[in-house]
Amino acid sequence: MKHLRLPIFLALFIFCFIVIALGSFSAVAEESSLGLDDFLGRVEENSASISSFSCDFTQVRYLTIFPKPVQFSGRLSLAKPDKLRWEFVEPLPSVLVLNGKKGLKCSEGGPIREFNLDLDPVMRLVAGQLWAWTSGTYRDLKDDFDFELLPGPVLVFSPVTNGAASFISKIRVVFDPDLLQPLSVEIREPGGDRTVISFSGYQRDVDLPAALFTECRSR
Amino acid sequence: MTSRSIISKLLLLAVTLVGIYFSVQVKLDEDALDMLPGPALQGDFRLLQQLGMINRVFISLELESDRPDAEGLASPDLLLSARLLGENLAASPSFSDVFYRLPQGYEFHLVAGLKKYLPVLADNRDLRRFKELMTPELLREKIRQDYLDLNSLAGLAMRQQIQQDPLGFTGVVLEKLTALRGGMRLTIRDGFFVSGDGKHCLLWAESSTPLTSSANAALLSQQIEDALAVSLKDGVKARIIGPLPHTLANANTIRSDLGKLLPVAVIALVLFLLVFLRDWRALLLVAMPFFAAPPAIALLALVYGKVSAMALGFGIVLLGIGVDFAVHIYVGCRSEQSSARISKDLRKSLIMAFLTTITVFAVLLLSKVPAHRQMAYLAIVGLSWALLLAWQLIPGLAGKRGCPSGVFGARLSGASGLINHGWQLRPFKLLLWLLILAAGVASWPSLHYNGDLRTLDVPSASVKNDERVFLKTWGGDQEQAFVVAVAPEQGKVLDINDQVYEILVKEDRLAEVQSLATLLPGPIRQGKNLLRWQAFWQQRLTAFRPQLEQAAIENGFTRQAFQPFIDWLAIEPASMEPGAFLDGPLRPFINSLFRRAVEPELGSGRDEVFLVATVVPDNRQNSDVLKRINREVPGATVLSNSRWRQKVEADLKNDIHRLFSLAALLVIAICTLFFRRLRPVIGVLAPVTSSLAAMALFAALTGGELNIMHALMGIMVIGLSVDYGIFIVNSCLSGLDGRAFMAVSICAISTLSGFGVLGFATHPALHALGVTVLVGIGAAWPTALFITPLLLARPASKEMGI
Repeated sequence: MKHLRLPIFLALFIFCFIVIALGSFSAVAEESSLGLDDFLGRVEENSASISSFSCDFTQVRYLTIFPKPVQFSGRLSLAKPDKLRWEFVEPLPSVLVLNGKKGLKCSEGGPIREFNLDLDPVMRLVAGQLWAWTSGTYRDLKDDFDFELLPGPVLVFSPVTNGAASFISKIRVVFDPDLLQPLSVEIREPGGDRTVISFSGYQRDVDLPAALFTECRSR
Repeated sequence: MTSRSIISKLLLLAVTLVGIYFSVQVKLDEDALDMLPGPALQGDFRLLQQLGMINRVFISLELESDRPDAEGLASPDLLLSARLLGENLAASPSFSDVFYRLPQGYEFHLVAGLKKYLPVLADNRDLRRFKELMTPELLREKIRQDYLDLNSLAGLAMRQQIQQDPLGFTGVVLEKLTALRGGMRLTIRDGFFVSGDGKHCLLWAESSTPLTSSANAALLSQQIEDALAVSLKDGVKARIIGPLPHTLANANTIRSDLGKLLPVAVIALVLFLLVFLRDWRALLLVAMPFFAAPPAIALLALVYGKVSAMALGFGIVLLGIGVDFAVHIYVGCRSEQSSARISKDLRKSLIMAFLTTITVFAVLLLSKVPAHRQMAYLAIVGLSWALLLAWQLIPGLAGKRGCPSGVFGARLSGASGLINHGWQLRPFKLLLWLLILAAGVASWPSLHYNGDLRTLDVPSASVKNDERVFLKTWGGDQEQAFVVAVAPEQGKVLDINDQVYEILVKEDRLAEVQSLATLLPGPIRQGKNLLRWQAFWQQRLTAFRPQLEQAAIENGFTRQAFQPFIDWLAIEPASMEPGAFLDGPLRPFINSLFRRAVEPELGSGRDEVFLVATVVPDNRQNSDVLKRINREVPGATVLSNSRWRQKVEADLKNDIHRLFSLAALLVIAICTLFFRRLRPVIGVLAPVTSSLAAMALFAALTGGELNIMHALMGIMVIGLSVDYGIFIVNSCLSGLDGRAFMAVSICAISTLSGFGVLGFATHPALHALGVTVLVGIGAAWPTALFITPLLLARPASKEMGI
């Protein structure tokens, strides 16, 4: 309990959505004729066909407590059903690994911190959302968010619960109109802070070394 | 039969019937407090009851051993079983509280609560830690970590918390929560209480009804079994720990013992009476106590209000003495020439025996133990009624058989013959008796009264095994002492609890201590902490603020990034209301140590008291600190098993010595008043001295420990033994005719067969009961027959008037 932090599941919600959407390679969009449920169904269907993937990402945080936008970039690797590696490469390397109920957190020069999802409430929430999305059950999250499909296609999530609303006001995901993969995700917080994550260079069903999900060391 | 006789018999019948009517409506009370001497000990036990310690049931769920090792992770089946079981038990009205999981999101509520009360929770040690974190080097490191966290995957929603607590002070205070766990080895996984290896999950519940009652225990056990049947997944089993399995195991053992031994005792008794007396109506003699009991029970309920089940059980056993009165009348009347009359000699013996017996029980009315007093009252009323019944009913019953003849006459002749040879080997017999007395006296100092009621506890092998596994899994294998603070106000009780904690801190005895003091300080300590907190920041804030701003800038934040933290420091800190955490997420832990109870004995209404317990290992190292707390902290009571046992032993020992001495003096006085000569008095006392010596010698040879059963049955044996002496002495003085010898023998044999068979019982309480009677009566009977006559002057004529 020593390292408790406030819930971040909403942020992970975005992340999870990204993970799912990144798996949606095969579909050709006909978004103009699709309703919200159809659209989510298509994304779900596509994600179910993927066993693993990796991609590059860039995260830019526009926070009032930062004097200027902070950009981090790195690589995301995922192997279904429960292995994930979120690795920042620049400017400060750090790694987060989830492997079943266990996980690792490490940063450059810092100690490797192991955690257990049963014992770490924050990471449990993170993983809970993540696995829900990667297993194609993300529709369950509709209890906590209002979904809106805009032309583009752009999917907008607004939290309906008080807890979620205190951290996030809106999430906006812009999809590739052809591949139904997210090009960018923008998370807006109450007060005007926002974070934008952009994805590129994704590879589907790749052979990912097992060590990626057991070690912090960069590959 | 005269009309007067008919009226008196109808009157007896009416009283007995009224007694039966009222006695069946008496509600029994199974309060263990009734068995404890003195208000102090009863108060201690009541505290344990009020804290819920007595009615708590622990259920440890366990993955079967052949399941694959889950690498320390709790199995979903285990957690699901715990959740289902918890929900099912919570739905039952038999449980007032069921704890199986902390509420979802408890961590976040907890952090928010702790942050709010940081100024009143942080003590000197915490402030020293804060000071370290505020050193420039650690400050920079922490702010850098904040920057990394904010930009990590888990950092998207951490901005507010990092802004408000950049140095993680809340985390420092969170460490205090370990004090809630004490010596228990449990971890919290997804809110469940799980063992370190992930193979066990703990639940605990409190019964709404006392678990010391076997009926309640059986009902509750069935409900738990039902809940387990529908809750546990394959491969998960449960172990139930607490008073419940002990109550059930004891009840089962007693039931099993009585099921086997009672038929034997009854058959032996009936066969003996039928064969010896050749009169089926003699069986009514055995029924006398049962006729005498109802009016006594009804009067007991009228006088005392509630009837202790223990007092009733043992009181009825003591009424067994009533059989002896009936036997003496039966034998006396059957052998009288003019039947249906009680002779003058027999009348004198009966009155004297009655007086001495009643005197013994009257003295027991002065006992500090409430159950003893009720027992004595029941015995006095019951024996009085039993004598009256026997006096009125038995002569007619026996007289109808006419003069002694046939088998009965032969028996009487046999008894007379025994007396004729009684004077042979007189010196040898007296020497043997004196040797027994000397051995009894010599062994007396080695006897030790064991007040630990656990010596009368017989957990089954499975209960013992469950407890062994439980202790191995969850810890807590040391004896525990409870330091209980009691006060009529919440704030006051927490202040007392703080004083206890401060002494433990000063004496460096905090190892495995379970305390609420770190999480729920009382108003006084809150005030002190607050003053320290304010002084701490008054000294440092001016210098610290620019350092924080500088560290922020150096690590990629704006200068004002942590202004919310600075602003929070400027807010007037809030005092923590005593109930702040009581209904919060940590309620399962707090509820074990903090209670609000109704104290009906205070004032005229239902006054409330608050109790806070601190659990301290009850070992030699903590002995001094516990004594110090007991001495120096007003309002705190130390409930230590070892200390408690000593107190129970001392009080009971003192009670027994006092009462036995007084009873002995009174019995001697009565005998002296009746006989006015030394020899008959010694003759009367000879059987009782033999029984006491034999019981002491036997106890010394079998470990030297006496328990409450020895003491209770000792009283009965004394009552019977004195009666034996009285009947024999009176018989000898009035010119030996063998009736008393025969009657005493019938009484002794029926007592030995009725109670002595319990000496073969498995349960230690029944065993002690049976053995005490076997040894005591086994010594008193031959002494009455063979020694008492020798202590009197040799009769001038040895002709037997049959």
